[in-house]
Amino acid sequence: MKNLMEKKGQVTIFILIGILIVSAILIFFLWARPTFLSEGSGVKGFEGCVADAMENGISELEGKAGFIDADFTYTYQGEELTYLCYTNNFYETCTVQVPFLKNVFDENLEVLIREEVDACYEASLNSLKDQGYEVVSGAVNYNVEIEPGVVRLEIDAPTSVGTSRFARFNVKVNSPAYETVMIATSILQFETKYGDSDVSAMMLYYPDYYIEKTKRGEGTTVYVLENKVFGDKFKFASRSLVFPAGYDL
Amino acid sequence: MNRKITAGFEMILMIGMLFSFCYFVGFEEVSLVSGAEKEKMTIKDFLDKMGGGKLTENQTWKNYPISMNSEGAGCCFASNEGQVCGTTSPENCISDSPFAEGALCAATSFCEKGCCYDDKSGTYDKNVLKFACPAKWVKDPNCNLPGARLGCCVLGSKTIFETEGQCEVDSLVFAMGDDDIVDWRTGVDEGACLFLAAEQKEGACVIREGECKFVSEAECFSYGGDFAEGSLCTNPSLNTSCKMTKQTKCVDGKDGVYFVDSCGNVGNIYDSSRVEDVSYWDSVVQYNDSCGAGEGNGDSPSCGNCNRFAGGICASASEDNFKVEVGSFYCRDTSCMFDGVKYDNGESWCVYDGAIGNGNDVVGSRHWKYVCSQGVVQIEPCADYRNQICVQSKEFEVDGKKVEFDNAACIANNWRECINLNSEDADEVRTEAEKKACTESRTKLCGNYTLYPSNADKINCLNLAASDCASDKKVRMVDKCSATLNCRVEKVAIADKFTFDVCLPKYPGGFALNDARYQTTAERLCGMASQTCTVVRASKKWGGCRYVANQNCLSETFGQEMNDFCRGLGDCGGSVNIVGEWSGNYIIRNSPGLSESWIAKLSIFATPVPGQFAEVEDYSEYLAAAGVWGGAVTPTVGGEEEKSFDFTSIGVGVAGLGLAIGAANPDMKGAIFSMARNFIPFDKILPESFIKVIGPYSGAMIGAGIGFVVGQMLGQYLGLSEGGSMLMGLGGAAIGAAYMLSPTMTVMLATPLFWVGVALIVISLFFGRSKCPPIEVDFECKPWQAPVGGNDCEECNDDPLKPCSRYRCESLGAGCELINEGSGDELCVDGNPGDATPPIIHRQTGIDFEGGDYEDGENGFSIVNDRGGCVLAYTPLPIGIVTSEPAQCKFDVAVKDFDDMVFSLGGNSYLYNHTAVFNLPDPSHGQSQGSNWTGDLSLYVKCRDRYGLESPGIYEIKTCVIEGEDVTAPKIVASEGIGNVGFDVTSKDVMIVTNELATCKWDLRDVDYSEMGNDMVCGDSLGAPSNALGYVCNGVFAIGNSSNNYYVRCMDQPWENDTSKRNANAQSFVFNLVKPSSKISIDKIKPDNIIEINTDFTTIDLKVATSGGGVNHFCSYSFSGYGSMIEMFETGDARTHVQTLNVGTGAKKIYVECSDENGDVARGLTEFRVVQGDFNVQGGEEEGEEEGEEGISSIITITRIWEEQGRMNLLLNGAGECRYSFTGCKFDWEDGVSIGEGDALSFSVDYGKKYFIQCEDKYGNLPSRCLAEIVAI
Repeated sequence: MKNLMEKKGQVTIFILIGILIVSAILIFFLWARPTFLSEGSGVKGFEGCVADAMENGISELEGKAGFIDADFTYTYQGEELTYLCYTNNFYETCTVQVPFLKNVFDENLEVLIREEVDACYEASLNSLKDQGYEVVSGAVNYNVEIEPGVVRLEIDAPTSVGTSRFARFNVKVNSPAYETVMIATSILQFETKYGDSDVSAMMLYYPDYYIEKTKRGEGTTVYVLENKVFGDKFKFASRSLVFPAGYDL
Repeated sequence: MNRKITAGFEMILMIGMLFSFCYFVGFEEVSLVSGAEKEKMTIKDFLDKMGGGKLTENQTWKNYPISMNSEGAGCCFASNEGQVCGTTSPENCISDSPFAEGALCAATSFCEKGCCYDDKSGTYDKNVLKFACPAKWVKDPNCNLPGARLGCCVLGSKTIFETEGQCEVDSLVFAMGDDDIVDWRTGVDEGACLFLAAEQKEGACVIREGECKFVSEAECFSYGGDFAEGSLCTNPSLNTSCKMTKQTKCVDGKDGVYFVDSCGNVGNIYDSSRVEDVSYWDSVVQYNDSCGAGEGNGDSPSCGNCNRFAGGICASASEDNFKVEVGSFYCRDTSCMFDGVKYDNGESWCVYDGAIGNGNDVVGSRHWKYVCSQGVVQIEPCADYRNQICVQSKEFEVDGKKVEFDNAACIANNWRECINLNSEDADEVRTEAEKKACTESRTKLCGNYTLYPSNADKINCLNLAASDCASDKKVRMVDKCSATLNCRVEKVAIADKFTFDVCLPKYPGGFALNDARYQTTAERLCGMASQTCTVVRASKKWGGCRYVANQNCLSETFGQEMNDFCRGLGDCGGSVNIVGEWSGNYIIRNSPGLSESWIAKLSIFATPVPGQFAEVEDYSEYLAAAGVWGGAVTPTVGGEEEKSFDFTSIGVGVAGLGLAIGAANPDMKGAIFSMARNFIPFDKILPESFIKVIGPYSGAMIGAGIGFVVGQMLGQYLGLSEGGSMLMGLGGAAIGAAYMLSPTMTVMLATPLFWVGVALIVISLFFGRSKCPPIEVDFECKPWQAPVGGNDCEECNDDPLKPCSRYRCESLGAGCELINEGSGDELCVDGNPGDATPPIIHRQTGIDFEGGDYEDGENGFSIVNDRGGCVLAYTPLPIGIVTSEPAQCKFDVAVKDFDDMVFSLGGNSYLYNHTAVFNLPDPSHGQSQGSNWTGDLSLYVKCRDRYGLESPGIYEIKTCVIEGEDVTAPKIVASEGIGNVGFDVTSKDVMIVTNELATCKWDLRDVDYSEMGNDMVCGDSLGAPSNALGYVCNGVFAIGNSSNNYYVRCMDQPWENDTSKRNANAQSFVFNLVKPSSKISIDKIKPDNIIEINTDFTTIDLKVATSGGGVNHFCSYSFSGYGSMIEMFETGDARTHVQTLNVGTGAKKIYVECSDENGDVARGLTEFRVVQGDFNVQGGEEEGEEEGEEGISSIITITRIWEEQGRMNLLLNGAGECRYSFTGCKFDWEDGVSIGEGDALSFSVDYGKKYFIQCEDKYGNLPSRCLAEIVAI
């Protein structure tokens, strides 16, 4: 007791360190809790992990019109918006820079989430192994498809867990990405053919969407398609049928 | 122990920091590719990144020229920034990218656009580059393929407007059945398709005992349940576990609020009065039988029968803090309130920054379209610089009834065309006297033996002369202007002899205020309104002067009306900005300026006029010319069903008309030759082409609008009359104009049309002392510049409903700048508040002139000759200064305050470089007339920056002219009418302008002046040049059957009786009139036959072949007549002219007109028909097919198919190729087994196998599904 009284400073430091460690652990589990730990079985946790990855990936891609790292962009409100249709001439309608936007979205989403999905898979396998299961896994292939109302990820991952065998995992998340991409494609078709589009009528027919269209001074038109239900925002830029800022050059 | 604890603590910190350090590093994306490495990207790298291009070593793109081997700008396939197919310079293009120097991308083969499609997935993308297409590609940018047709895909209770292919894919996804059951409906537009979802039959689907879902019949089928159409799951007879509740919800695809049963199924529309009504839970009650039917029921607490078009849509009550009687959802009111006016959902209206129309749009203003979208007002700004205007319509006619509904659209502003109309042959109404004069001069020429040796030649000449001179008036500019979109005729009627009509835009365009290139063109444009009114006076008998003509030009009306003309051209003259701040950018001489009260009237234009909006004009002429029909008028041709333009897709209404205008603008001529900003070096601009655009109307005024130079102030200095002063000013101004067009003196001097202007200075010396000289009242129109300073910059940031832009910001003050452009902190701010540094003036180096030099002084410089002495008379003297910051500069012959100085040095824009060119007359000319001007000149220069700070001291530019006898012959400084002439032209009116008063002669031989046989008519008198560039002489050059050289020489000082003192040209000015060997003609126009298609529209190439005539042929086309022609896209150098068109079915007539640089015109016409076929297997006549129309009304079909002795035989209705497959109806053509080509085919078959047969017609058209499915028996 006397020793303890003499070592008040040490005790204080130990207590503080203890508090820090406990706080860190609490923060880790409450704030940055990995999804794959949240579910019961390893497989269920895997699907949740993948779903999280997909949702994050969709959100990220939509902000860049389906591109992970687009080269040809326009800076608007601090963000780099992909030019999906562009011409630098006057009096000319734009050239579609990216055909088959839906396919591009699918492919890029697959690339974007691959690492995370791999990590989810590995983590779930490890979790099962830790639980004592005998796990055998094979080559993993992915296929992402955006469909009306959902985004579906098909994972071909032949896995055996004990006596159970899994060949394919289908994870789907509710997402308006398909409808959004279709509306964006429609806008692009108008831009490339007529040089402009009328989004007010589109909003009338698709009341779930809020479409912001801003014509910038040098001729670029910025589009932001926001789904009110999900909150997703699909953003892109177009430059079509621009007139000079004066009589002519 | 403490040390251990400390050590342990430090270790923990170290370990912890390792992780955080790694985290922060990982947060930053580090590019592993250096800038240098990025620049080395090859075309292969680019295409790999693009992910779609399929280029191999064998493909033709390798044969294209590449950018590293090019010099000038042109079409680049892949730029360093990542753009595909854009106009740029070679430096901005990937080094081994295909590059077409001097070409527009649309005309190159490697940037050819077409339709990229995947018929399996039903995806069809228009205007896609071939190299970018990852699937199939056809050369039809409009995707007029059968599979591209859009229809309504019904997926249970959901509908999607898409292609049939997409519908098949989606049907599989939603498990609507196998691929043979696809509910895809044509003849339904997108709007109707969306409403179709609500009409789908739904009912209770009892899946297993107790379990029930309320779905469509198709969905129920997929569940394998029992479908009870029209019943709800709570129907007692169904014995389900679902019970009625008081819960409500929104349903995807429907507007209303619906009850929900205990199973989560949708019930009937929420009606608080029927919550406990058991019968309301038995069967479906349609929305039109429910509460509040036909109304929007917005903000109704008791009824959930929402209708977004009528004013309500389902929304969460708790989110909106709305108290609903039952449940959690209600009909949110979708209408909007704006400025005290209620707008229904979907209505749109125009908002403006001030008054509009009649040339009253203020500087910096923009038109805005506001939309009411489900209760939220949305902003959609029209294009800046008023390149788009907002038009509005308040009512529509639906089924014969007028419906009030505000609809607005941003459409292209046709203001440039209005300006261009002034340069066309305006008001060419020949008077009888003119006809007589024409006949006399032409008849005289017919007697020229050299040109018309035989009597037959003479007679032909006389006949032609008679018919040409008898022609009456051409189309009046006024009529044309009134009929042109967005144009108006402004009648300027200031005085009895000073009245004229001018075509101006209703909504003048804006100019980039701080862009030197656009300010240069603005100078020219505004210069159109720089005019001089000559007030003629005569002496009174008993002394004094009386007014003979144009007295009213001396009143304030002159300034008012001229300023209205000036600001009606665009951002010119005295006008206000969007906050009502006035800036006067004009000069009025010898007439009162604009009064304060008048300026106050103009300031009112910055306030929007309540209820004012731009009305929708009649676009039918433009649409008809382009072959695009729409709106209220749908002409029919030939009585056949005319396929209207596809306006069924949403979003095309008033907007669509406007969009079509942009594409069908007859003034696309400028577009073809327009150059990408930043990429075409300025010195590659041809002055001639630009002048063609501006036109001679404004050409003469260019000089007055730009750098009004030495002359006038010299006159003041020398004490001349105002008239003489004005003349001096005119001469100098023209020089300034010429210099502006040519960036270097060398180029300028080599350009005959705009060589240095006439030095009228000497003339004014003779003008000065008459008793009642005319008064030259002058108005000089300059481009608008923002008020000095930056006090109002922040006004641009205040209104969230009107976001700021560069144009808007710069109009608020000369010091305003838009900072952080593109970021979230974009702001309009004062660029240099508290600026206390005045501009400092230095001489501009790099400018030189032949035979002279500059000597710098303490605060200025002198212009001297090579030996340091005075310069020769009539030498173009360029003066150039540079300021330390952008500034406006002026000069005068006396030391004055900046505001009192009259003459701008290099325009009134805020620039770094300021240049002007002038020349000085020979002092002996003046001295011979009594003037004592010795030839010395000093100019005093001051500059002022954007904040009103003036340059310190006085900057002086000195020069002098060599005194002595005039030994210089006159020079021809300009000419008109020289060059190419038409094939039928037998004589040409030619005008030349000399720098000094002279007499001129011409001949077909190069001989001395005295031996030349033909006098030119030089009607100007001393002191009264009729051209801004100098003295005019006219002649009529007779033209033979081929090109001729014409030699012209002049002699100065016509007042001098002693010809030995006069100076004649020692060498002739040679003019060549080039006549083509044959007249331009149209050889062929295609198409001219019947085109069979299997879609609603088709893409055709209108091809015109021309021959003869001059070097350049330009062809235009129109669907409506020769009155409105649209220049073809590919036209100019080649003899085949092509225009891609998207046409529907029906009889077509296309008018074609081709002209060459000589002015000859050839016209032609083609007629053809576009017919649509039918893909059903059938025999005999088709229903509706008239006798005699075999082979016309259908595309390839199998008319008969039969099996015989192990062989399947086919008879087609036309030649084609057929293939078969076993896999299914939608097999890839390439994968099919060929049956053969022809109209009678046969192939061996195997017993029991099912054959799917497809046939392709001779045009390569392939149906989306097979023509026959047959089992071999």
